[in-house]
Amino acid sequence: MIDGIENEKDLLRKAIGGESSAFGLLYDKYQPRIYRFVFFRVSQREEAEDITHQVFLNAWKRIEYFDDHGLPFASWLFRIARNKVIDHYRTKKTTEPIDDEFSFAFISDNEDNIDKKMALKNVYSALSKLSEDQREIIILRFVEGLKNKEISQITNKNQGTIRVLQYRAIKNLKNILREK
Amino acid sequence: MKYKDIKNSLWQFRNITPLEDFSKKSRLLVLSQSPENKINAKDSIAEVMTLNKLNFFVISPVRIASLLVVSTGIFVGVYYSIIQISPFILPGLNSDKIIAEADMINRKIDIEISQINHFKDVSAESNVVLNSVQINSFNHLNKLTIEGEEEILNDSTNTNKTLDDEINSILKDMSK
Repeated sequence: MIDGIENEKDLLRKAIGGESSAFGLLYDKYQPRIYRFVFFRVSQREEAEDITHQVFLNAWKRIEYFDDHGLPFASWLFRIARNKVIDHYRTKKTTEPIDDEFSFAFISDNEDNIDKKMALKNVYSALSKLSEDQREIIILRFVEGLKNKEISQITNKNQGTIRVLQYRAIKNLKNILREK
Repeated sequence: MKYKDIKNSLWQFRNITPLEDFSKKSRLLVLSQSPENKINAKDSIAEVMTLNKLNFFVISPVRIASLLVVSTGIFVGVYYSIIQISPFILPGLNSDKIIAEADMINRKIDIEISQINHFKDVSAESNVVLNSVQINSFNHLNKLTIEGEEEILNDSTNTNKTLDDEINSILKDMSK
């Protein structure tokens, strides 16, 4: 388990030097986050797995070209993931619904959780009705907990634009959920 | 639904994770690959020439040799080009000789100018003479010239008196 920035920097340095075990630890830390980001964009588990695998394969192969001057490793990974999703959209556009049993399997099926599960499904459904840009911002900001500066680096949008998108996305989500 | 509830729901989505089986397999496959070296001899020329892969601090012997060949070729080409177009480094150029040749040319020009001036003067005098011959009146003639011509005429009439008498007698006989 990676603790602290210094430890991650050390791991990065070793990974850039070619140590696969160091990159393996970085993989363990960031793979779930990248998977979630991709999953919310493509809405299919298998496709999300394929793209996530491609992201880390690409990142490991090109680890020597990573330059952390102003760009954190996480942002670099998210940027690769974003580009992979865009490439995926170019070749194949799918709007199939998500696998309900899988996506909310983390919530146990007792009475209290049924409402919670329903609420999550509603939010997810509302999320899928947002524009690509707004959905991306919501995922990065409120699901992955990234700051506006990091989101700006990932999406190549300035922070003012990020704030506006964020505000509109939340407002739209509320309006969609109010209609349900 | 309140904003707070929406944010809480979104935060709940962090519990969505990939299947463990997939994660293990993917990890193994990824780490079984070897990362690309920036100075990999197997890289294509196009990849090597991209800015990302250029490593200015590591220079291989092949690159040094090719750099030397190219720079030598450029230098030689520039040198011969300069020799062809520059007048200042022509082989065998003798500045003294050029000066002497220039002086000679100047002298020739001076001679020709003086000749032109001479002919100009002659031409002017000739014009004067020709004009004087054309005019009928003799007012402008030199007095001495006229007297000289008179003497010549007188001399010619006095020297052959006997011959003149004979001619006159012949003419007289013929008129009878």
